[in-house]
Parts: sequence; structure tokens; C-alpha cells
Amino acid sequence: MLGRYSPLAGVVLAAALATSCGSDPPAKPIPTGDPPPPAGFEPPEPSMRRLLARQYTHSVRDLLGEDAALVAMPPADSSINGYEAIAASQLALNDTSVTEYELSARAVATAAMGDDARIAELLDCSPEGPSDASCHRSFVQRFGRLAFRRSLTDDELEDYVGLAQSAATELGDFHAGVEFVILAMLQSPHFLFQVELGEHRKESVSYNHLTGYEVASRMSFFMLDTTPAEWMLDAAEAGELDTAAGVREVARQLLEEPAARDAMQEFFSEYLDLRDLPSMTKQASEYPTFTTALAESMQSETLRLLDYLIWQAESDFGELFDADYTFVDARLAELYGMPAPEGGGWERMTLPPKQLRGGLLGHASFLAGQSHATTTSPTHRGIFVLERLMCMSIPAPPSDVNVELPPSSQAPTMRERLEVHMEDPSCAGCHAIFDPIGLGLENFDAIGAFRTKENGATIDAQSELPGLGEFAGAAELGASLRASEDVMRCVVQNAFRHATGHVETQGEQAGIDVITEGFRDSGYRFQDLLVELVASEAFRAVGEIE
Amino acid sequence: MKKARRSARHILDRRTVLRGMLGGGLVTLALPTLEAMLNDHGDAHADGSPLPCRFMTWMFGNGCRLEHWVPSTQGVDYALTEELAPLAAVKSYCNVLTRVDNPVAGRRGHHDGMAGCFSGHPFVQLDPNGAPYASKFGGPSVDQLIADAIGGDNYLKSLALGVSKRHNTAQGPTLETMSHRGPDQPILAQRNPLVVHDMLFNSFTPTDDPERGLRADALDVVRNDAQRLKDRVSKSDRERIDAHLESLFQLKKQLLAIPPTCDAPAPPDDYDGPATSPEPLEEVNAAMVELVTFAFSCDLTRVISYMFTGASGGTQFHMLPPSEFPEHPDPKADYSAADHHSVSHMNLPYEQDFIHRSVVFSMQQFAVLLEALQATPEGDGNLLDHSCILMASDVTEGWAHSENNFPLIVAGHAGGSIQHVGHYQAADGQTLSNVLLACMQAVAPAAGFTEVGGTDGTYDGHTSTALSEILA
Repeated sequence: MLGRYSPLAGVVLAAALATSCGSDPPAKPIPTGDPPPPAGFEPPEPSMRRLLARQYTHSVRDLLGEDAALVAMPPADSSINGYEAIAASQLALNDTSVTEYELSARAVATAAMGDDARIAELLDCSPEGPSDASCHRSFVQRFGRLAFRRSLTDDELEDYVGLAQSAATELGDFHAGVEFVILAMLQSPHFLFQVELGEHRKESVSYNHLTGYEVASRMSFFMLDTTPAEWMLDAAEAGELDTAAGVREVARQLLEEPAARDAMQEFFSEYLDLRDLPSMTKQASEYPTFTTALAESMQSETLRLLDYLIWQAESDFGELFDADYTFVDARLAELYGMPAPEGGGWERMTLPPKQLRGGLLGHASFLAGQSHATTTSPTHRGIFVLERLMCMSIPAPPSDVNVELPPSSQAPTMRERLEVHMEDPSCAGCHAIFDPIGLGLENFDAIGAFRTKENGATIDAQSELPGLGEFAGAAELGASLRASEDVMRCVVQNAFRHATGHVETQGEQAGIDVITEGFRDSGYRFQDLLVELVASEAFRAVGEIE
Repeated sequence: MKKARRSARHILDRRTVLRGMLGGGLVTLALPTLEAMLNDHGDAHADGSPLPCRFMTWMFGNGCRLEHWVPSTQGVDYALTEELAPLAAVKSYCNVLTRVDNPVAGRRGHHDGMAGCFSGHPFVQLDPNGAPYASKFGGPSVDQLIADAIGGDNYLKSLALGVSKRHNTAQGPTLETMSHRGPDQPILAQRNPLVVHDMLFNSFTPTDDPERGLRADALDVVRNDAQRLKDRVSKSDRERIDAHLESLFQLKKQLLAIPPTCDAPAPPDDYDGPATSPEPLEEVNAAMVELVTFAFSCDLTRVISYMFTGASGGTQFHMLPPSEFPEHPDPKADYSAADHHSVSHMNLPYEQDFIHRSVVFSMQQFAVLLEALQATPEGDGNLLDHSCILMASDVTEGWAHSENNFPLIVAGHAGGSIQHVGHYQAADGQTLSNVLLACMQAVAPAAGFTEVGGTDGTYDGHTSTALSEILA
């Protein structure tokens, strides 16, 4: 009866059942197979995706142990269009990074050999002399499957067993062969990159789908920032990752792992520009209370709110934008004019209503992070909201523009100084869009403290933004954002970009819509977003390789 | 923790190895130029081949203040302006070029300048709707073209160095680094002098190390993997795999190379960790300059890019005292903690004075490099005689993102290929690409460079004309 699954149809049907049969809440629709592909959906060609530095190190830890992870030294990541994962799927290696990978592989291989128990388990045989080829082969197959995240081909087996034999013979030691296999495999593109090729699986569409192994890798690296565990490879081989339902089941298991919380913390640190907070500086004479320790607390506040919403309360993610409570330690409490937590440490506290704080836009991580060292920057704050929270593009700043802002003696408040942005038509086109957002937050100074005056003049934070309405202060702006479907879709877009290593193309918008609907249907529960995302056609499909 | 199964796994003290080798009379991959190898005039090798020429690109971020940069007269007798005054001791080695056009200007401040000053290719925009802007180079940077021509026999084909860690990494490869082998092949700079020291002097493998050959064998297995993968991936991925293969080949060469017989300098301090303020810019610059000098005189590399401060960079010039503007209504404003790029956009006299003084400071650090090269004898001259250093910035003036008059210096004599013209004001139509081609021809005459740069149909930086005014 439920036949071909459509999320909307399922909900409508369930609601109809509910009204006719009683007062139970409508059950979530149960998919009975893969949903039909979204109309007009067209994924782009796949691309090799280099492991991020942290993914490399975590993979080494899970493959070879803590001691090996300690000496791993992968090259640094670059960033494109807001995400390191995007740069990782576009940029090539060079002499320096290849040298760094070799140095890292050597150090890791040496350290790994110190873990006798793990090596014995990977061998799964007792070597009879230095040149025991079948025991080398056993290691290459077993370790290779974990390192390359799939079974090895015959060519690969031959190459790696050959290397093991050479090393063991030359150095007169069976385990030398093992060590050199590790050394080589950790430099192979099959370890360093998520190799995503796809295969043609559905007659009804012209594009491809990722293989079970490829889905396992994509899920594990996105949700846990590490290589897929052996049980996931087994599941892939059993076909369990070929359907949306199977993927959902595995995804729910991954969410139980502690690594999932760390992985999401890393994602949000990148998404909300929290990483550089510990090296932020402010003009000491103006902001004597600002310290690096305070900046670290700012970073922690936002991460704690996210952790609470996603993993503890498991509630509506929109609360990120307008929560009337936050997490403070003594330093932040002082900045916000709140009582210090009893007994030190961190505490969840209701925000003082007078300050008009509420949610992320009242957090110092945003207010201070998007300000200058000496003053606020309504432009930076506005651009953050537009780009990161509303997924809007900002045009290029014009060249050869002569803009002289008046000094503060003539224009005591920032609003008055920025009026010149609005008067000049070559500036107003863009500044009229993002400056008002920042001007509505001018009651928060460059370190995020509340103020009513600037240079002796009263601040007027009443602002209006077409499409979002009028607001003054963080709570009102946050409420408008929370109510916007575009904003919630933008959360999905950002998670998608990090998860797949590319910015969604026009042909994928229909796929993003499906995920967004699922997110909405779940009541914007973030863990459900993760499940919907990895189970979606958009995550599991790739274009044909030309 | 259990002991390693394998015996004799030890980390070699490379300095011990180098000392041991010194008396060994080995044939080396690269030699510092010795007196005995020169001709009678000391200006070429005994066999007539020219002494090796070195090339550098060098930059500071966010432009200059033209009224303090551009000299009022031209020719060799121009008076040094305030921002050029730090070059007094090496004035005869510096060609100051002004009014040179950027042929790929017009889309995005900072990005245009990097592309024009260092490659002659319009950058490639990475501007999908609804995502933060980024761009990448449209073609190889000039240092990589030269490295391919003259760096093939050196231990390191090229080296990318940087000083300030507060460079811009949020808008893609174009602003992130000066060295690019292609659009998808940025080479990131190394900013820790101790790591650079290790790359140059501590990375050689002794010839009698039994693992040398096996490590090379491992690289061959990796290359096989990459080769097989090439058949299955997309066209753009094939290019990425080609880059990987090229680097694996280079690494194998390095692995099997014989260590040089140079005396390594004492290791510098370890400037590791994140970009916390205040950055020890002068100390790091001094340490890097020493390494550059040794690397060149030891012929470990012939091509270096040097990002003193980054394009649209946020360096804090904490060492600069507040400006003295008693009549200024904001005398309490102090930019020593501020992000340099942000200050550069504040167009009040106080802030722009701060920017001006930051340019003077940066030029003082550039002078440290030039003076160190000049003080290093080689043949009948010095390293600066045998080098060409292209110095530029990513914008003309930061506040306006202007692009019509980049701060631009070609320093060094390139073994006589570059002549000293002093301050040269370019004629209409003379572009940054003409300057790039002149440097390429001066540094690598045997390579036969006839063109540089490219076009994307709208922005055209391609040229077959070198700026002959600076060529001898």
C-alpha cells in the first residue's frame, strides 16, 4: 500500500490514518526501498578526495594504534569556498607534500611495528622464516583491505607482496617486509584519497551510484573523521549500503560513537569560523579585559551550545539562532554581566533579557570574531550572516574607490560613520544588504560586551532587512533567521559541502530539497539531518566519468 | 611500550653523516662554486659554462603608499623615497619599476595583483552561487617555470618560504601562496626556519643506508598504484595523478642523491605553533635569509619564493609605535594589534600613516636579504650579482585595491643579464608580463623562453615581449 515512497505522501497518509484511527501522533513513514530519484536531479562527475590531516591521523590511529598516530605528520590542508574538504577534492599533491607523506609513513611504520599484538592480529599467521610469502600475502590482504578500504586487486597483491619479499630478504627479517608494506600503503593514492568512481546501478537514471565500499568510506569520513571500521566494510560487501534503508541503519550506529561528536565539532568550527579565535587579538588599551583565555572561552561557548542541541537535548536545531540561554564560565559570565557559575567550570544559564542576546548572534565568538581589533565591523558581521547562515553570494568589492570615513569626533557612532557607504551608489548596492545586519548588533562591542553608548552618543540598533523584517539586537535577528526556511536549508547546504567535498551544483538542488524536507520533518533534529543526508540520493550518487 | 621488532632501526644524525662525508671525496649532486672551477676572470666556469643564476620572487602584502614610494626622478640618480630608503646600501642592484600595467586586472583586488605579478595568467574564479569566494591561479607561477628550466639537477627544484603566519587562507590558492605549478597545484610556503633547515640539510640519506633502495622500491609500488588509477578517473583527476607521479619521481631522485659537501649552518630556533601575537617577524626573516644564502651558495636550490607578509594578509605590525598625529581626533587609536588588511582599508591619515610605516619596515626586511646576498662572495662577485629577485605586492595601494602602479623591483644582476637602470617609469602598454618574461630570459638564457602568461578570452596576460629596458 505504501508502494513507491514519497516523503510527503507518507506524511499525509500517516496524518490521515491518525485522524481517522485515534489520537496517536503520526508515525514517520517507513521506506520500503530506495525512494525514487528527485525529478531533475543530476550529480556532477566524482573527484578523488584527499584525506584531511585529521582524517589521516585518525585513520592511522585506528589502523595501527596510538603510538603510530602520535608520529603521523600529514601536510596541512587548504580551503576553498569555505571548506577544506572542497580544496581536498580539487588540489593536487606536490614535491613538498609527497615528501611529507613519505616522512610520515616511515615514522608511522616504525612505530606501528612496536605493537606486537596488533601486528600479530593483522598477520593472522605465524611466519616460517624471513621469506614466508604466504604469510606476507596474508598481511597484505588483511591490512590492505583496511588501509585501502576495499579488497585488493591481484595486481596490487602481487606488487605489495613483492615489496615485502624484497625487504624481508634484503634485511633478513620477516617483519621488515611487513614494515615496508605499511610504509608503501600509507603513501598510495588508495590510502591518501577517497577514490570515488561509482558504478551504473539504476536503469532508470543515466548517472552512477557509489559502490558499497565508497559509501562506507564517505559515511565514515564525514560522520567520524576516520577510516571505515572492518564491520562497515563487511556491511558494504553484504550489500547493506546499497539501499537508503541500509545506509540509515548504519548511520544510526555511527551516531552512537564518541568520534561522531568530535567530527561534528570540527565541522562547526570550520562552518562558523571558530578555529582562529584563540589567536584573535584586540587593542589592549580599549579592551583591557580581553585575553587569549577569554577568546578560548568564547570558542567553547558556541561549541557547547551546539553539543547540547545536537547530542544532549537532541532538540530543534533552530534554537542555535535564538536560544534564551547559553553556556558560560567565569570569564564569559563577567563579559556578559552574568553571575559566575557556582563552583567554577561551565554552567547553562538563562540570558539577561535587557541585553537582547539570544543564540549564536549574541555569542562573543561571532560578535568578537567578526570585529576588528579596534572597533566593531558591521560589514564583517553582516557578511558572516549572509554568507554562512543565508548562503548568499557577496559580489566583489570595487577597485579604485575613494572612501573616506569621517572621524569619530564628527560621527561618534558606527552607524553615522558608515552612512557614507550608503550615500555612494557604487558602495550602496552591496553595503545596503549587509551593513544593516551588523548595525542591528551595534549594542555589542568589538569583544562582544553589551553597550548602550559609543563615544558618548546613544546607539540606535533598530534595523531592517528586506525579507527578514525589522529587528534590534541578537535575539530578534536570531528569531527571524530561525523562522526562515532558506536559513535552515543553508545549514543543510553547508553540511552537504563538507560531506561531499563540493559546492552543490544546480543539478543537485532537487537532491538538497529532499534532505531539507527530511530535516524539517524530523523537527530539525540535527542527528536526523545526518542520517537523511547520508541516505539521500545526493550523497550516494555521482555523475558518469567522461 | 614494546620494543620494535626490527633491529638497528635508528634515526641517523644527519649532521654526523655530513661531517663524515666531508673528507670522503665523493662525487656530489651539487657543489658550491669553488675557486678552482672558475675561469681566469672568475665570471664563468673553467669550461665556459656560465655560473648558476638564482631566482626569487618576494612579496609584502596590501600595497604601498604611492606618494612615499614613487621617486620623483628617473634613471640611476633618482633620490630614494621614504619607502625605498631601506635599500640605500644595495641601491645599485635595484631597478625600481613604476607605472607597469597589470594586463589581467579588473575583477578582484588582491587576486588580480597576485595573478599579474607572478604568473601573467588571469586567475580562475571559484565562485559558485551561495558559497564564499575563492580563486586559483590560471597557470604556473614564474618561479616554477624557471625552476623547471634551471632547477632539475638541484636537490630541491624550488623552495617556498614565508614569514608571517597571518596570511590569507580563506579565499583559495591565489592569495594563499606565490608558487603554483598550475591551477590545482599550489605549493604552500614553509614558515618555520627549523623545518626549512631540516629540509635543506638534514634530509639526505647516507649512501650506505640499507633502506635507501627499499624506500625507492616502495615509491615504485606507489607509482604503479597511481599509474593504474589514471586509467579509471576523470580528466582533471588524471592531471592530479600526473602531478603526484612527477613528485614521486622527484622524491626518488632525492632519495638516491648523494649528499652535498657543504657545511650546514647552525640550526635556527624552532618557530613552531599557531600565529599567536606578537610574531617575531625580524627574527624569522633573519633566520630565513641565512638559510636562503646557504641554500644558494651550496646550490641546494636555485629558485625560492618568499612571502614576507601575505596577499590581503592580516599581519600585526606590533613593533610599530603609534602614529604621532596630535591634531587627529582619535589619538588613542593604536593599530599594533590590528589586522593589517583591515587597517589598509581605513582611509584616514592616521591609519594610512601606519600602513606607510609598515611598508618601510617590510622594505627593511627585504634589504636584509639583498645585503646578505651581496655579502656572500661567489666567483669574482657575490650572490646578488648572480641572482634576480622580483619583488612585488598584491595591490598598488591597499585602501583602493588599485592596480595601476604596483610596487615593483627587479633586484640583482643575473650574472650580467640585467642592467642597472635605477628608477624606470614604464611606457604605455608595458605590462607585468613583459617584466616576468625579462626575468625568465635573464635568469635562464639557455632555456630559450619566448613567451609567458595566458588568456581566458577576456583577460589577457600573454606576451612574447620582454621588458628589454632592464636587460643588458
